[in-house]
Order: sequence, then structure tokens, then C-alpha cells
Amino acid sequence: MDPAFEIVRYQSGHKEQVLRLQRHLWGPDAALNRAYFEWKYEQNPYLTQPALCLALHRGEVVGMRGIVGAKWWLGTSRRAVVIPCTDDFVIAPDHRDRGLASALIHAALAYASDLGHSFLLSLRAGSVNVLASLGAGYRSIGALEPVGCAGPQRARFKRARQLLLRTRFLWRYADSPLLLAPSERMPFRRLDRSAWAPTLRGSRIRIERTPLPTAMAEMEDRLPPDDRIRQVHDPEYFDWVFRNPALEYRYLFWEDQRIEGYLVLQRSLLSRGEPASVVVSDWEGTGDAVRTDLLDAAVRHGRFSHLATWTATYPESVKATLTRVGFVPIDLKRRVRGQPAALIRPVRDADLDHEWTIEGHPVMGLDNWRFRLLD
Amino acid sequence: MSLREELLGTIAAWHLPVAVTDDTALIRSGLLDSLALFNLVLWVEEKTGHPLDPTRVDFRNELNTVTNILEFVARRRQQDAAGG
Repeated sequence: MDPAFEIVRYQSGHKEQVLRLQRHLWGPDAALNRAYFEWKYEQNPYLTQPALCLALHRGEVVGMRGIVGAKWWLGTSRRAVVIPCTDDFVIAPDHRDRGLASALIHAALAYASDLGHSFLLSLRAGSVNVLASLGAGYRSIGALEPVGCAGPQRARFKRARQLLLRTRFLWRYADSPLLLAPSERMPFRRLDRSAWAPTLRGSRIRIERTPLPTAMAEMEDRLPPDDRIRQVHDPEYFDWVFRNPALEYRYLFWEDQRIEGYLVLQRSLLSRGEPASVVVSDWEGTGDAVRTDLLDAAVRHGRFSHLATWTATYPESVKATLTRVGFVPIDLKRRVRGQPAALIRPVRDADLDHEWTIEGHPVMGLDNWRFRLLD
Repeated sequence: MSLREELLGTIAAWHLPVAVTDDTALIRSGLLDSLALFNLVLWVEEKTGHPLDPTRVDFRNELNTVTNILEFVARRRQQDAAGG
């Protein structure tokens, strides 16, 4: 690393500079960036203080890598451990290609070790970050296999935008909101209207704008034992995760006196460029029929421009349901290279050449995990 | 020009702070930054004629040195020739 830089751990005095740096990562909305940072790092229920590694150049924050607390159940005993995830990796454009990426990756590992953790996960790394992480000793647990389902409007409006981009004088209007399909500008509009539709009245599905943390956690407790490593879904988690200010959510509940299933839809408020997909961020039910009902309702009533989800750790029956509804593999260029992928690494180099386990649970291989979106 | 010379020439263009020999630890030492890793993957893809799924490669053991990288490319070419 260039000696003009130093790597330090975040302290509250860095906050304003970090928020400025984040604009390279999340977008120009300062208020939203602040709220997102505070939710993710200051209000995280699993780490007592914000844990980020920063690269400084003459005292100025020019790079960061965050460590986000995430709690996981190990096996059927449901013993819970915190396995943090690295996220929000950014280096200011003027300071790239100086070795900061590798330095920040190793600094985050050392920080996690000092906090008492044994592994770090990485679930949302971009292509360059994946390479840097693999070079630093991370390994892939497996590809997350995103699938998506596009409505007919999406292609039509996309073609119109591309046509305008190639047109003299008019190219500058190609990113006008007028060239977004209504389902891209207001992705939850149809779903919200459907909440009151006669087709839903009398059915067991209801659509809500607020989560039911206690009822959702209670339903999870009734699910059959699962011996995989999976995120703790308790009221504390649900209460925190759905307060993410950078996302807008809708909740579909399948109810018969009590909650038998839920499907959570989210859309990013931070996205730039192409309109973001609506994403199935969480989807659970006490049976296949419940899960299928929920997905059918989301697709039928939402009529989204594009709906996406990860499938890697879904059972085959759920994958078949997705295929039947029209979901197909997406992100094909990255898929050829095994991405997006879940990466993991022991925080201590001394553990790299041993078998990778957490309290006896092997961590390599998707069969050992159940992943859902962290945010 | 041999493949080895070609690889050493490619690595020289990355301006690493040490003189690289056949057995210099490129990965384990942290010598390669993300851009150099990206270029290394591109080089391997060019020489094998196939996209490389980096998540299936053990960088620390399979691509650590010039010797490892050349062996890796040779293995991939043999697999291709054998129809695999």
C-alpha cells in the first residue's frame, strides 16, 4: 500500500466524512445516506458499536469497508452465533489502484478477530471486490443463483430509452422518469390497490405496509427443524431489519387464525441508473401450498416490471414454483463466473489451512446454509 | 515467446514493488491488488480460451506463483483436449 495512506478503525468523529464518501456507493441523497448508515451500523442489534475500517489520505477518509452484525442459528439446537458480514466497500475514485482494497480487507479481518468473531461473510460483493476477497483468502460457499421475472412493459420502455440514447440532441432525456414504465416509477402501486380488491377480500392473503415481527417469529418457531446455518429470525431481527430506510417494503401474509406464511417484497430507494427490481427478500411458510399462494398473489397482484430473488438455498419444490410462475436465471454474465456468491473466510490466517467449521458445523457448501437477503 | 515469458512480461506491467521470479508468492504475500487480480484472471481466460469462474479457484494455492499459474493453465488446456 502507498505509504501516503493509513488504515484506521471508525470513530464517531469520522462520521461526516464517511457519509460524504458513501455518495460514491449509495447515491447523492445525503439524508438517506445518513439514515441508512445509522440504521445499519449504529442501530444494528448484534454489534454494540459501528465497526468499519477506513483508509485515510492526509486525514481524509477515502476508503471504507463495513462490518455488519448478523446472527445465525447453528443446526437444530438453534444455538445462535454472530457471524458478521462485510459490506459497503468503497474507495474514492481518485485513490483506486493503490492497494487500498487489499489493505481494507485485511484490516476488517483483524477488526473482526479483535471483536471475538471467527469468520467473516461477504454476500453482496461486486466482481472486483469478489476477486480481491478471493485473493485475500476468502472462499466461495456457492453461487446465490438469482432469478427474475420481467413484465412486458419493461422491455418496451427499455427499448425506448436505448433508442433515445442513440438519438442526436434527445439522448440527454433518456433517463427521464417519463421513460420509465408506470410499474418502474411506482412499483408497488398495483399491489397497494389490490390490497382492497375483491379478489383478495375473503382470501387468506393480506397485503400490509408494516411487518408483524412477533407473529412472523412465532411462525418461524413452528417450522420443522432445520440443521443448516441460517439467520436468526426472532422479533428483534424482524423489528430491526425492516426499519431499513433505504428500502421500501410490502408484506404479504397468509393467515388462518394465525400467520402460516409470509412473503416480503422490497425495492431500493438508493438505486441509480436502470430502475431497480422489486426483490423477494424473505419468503417462508408452513407448507408448499402456502408459499405457492403467496408467490402467486405477489406476481398476480403486483404485476411488477421486474421481480427477482436468490434461489441457491431454496428447496427444489420452491425453485419449481418459481419456474412455473415465469422466473428465469438472470445476471448471466456474472453467473458464468460463479457470482453473485456467498464468500467466507476465517478471520485468522492460522485457520486458513484447517477445516472451516463453526462450533463443529462445516461452513463450506451451500447445503450447510440457508441464505436470505440481509438488506 | 514462451508462455512463461509472456506471463512474466504481463506481471512486469503491473509494476510490483519486488522482482518477480517463478516462485514469488503473488497471492499469499498480498502483492497483487484487485486490479492485478482482475488482469490475472483475464490473462488466464485468454490463455485457456474460456471464462474463468474465480469462485471455483483456490487462489492461494492454484494461482500463487508464476509456476502455479502456468501449471493451472496447462491443466485447463489438458482438460479441454481430453474433452472435459
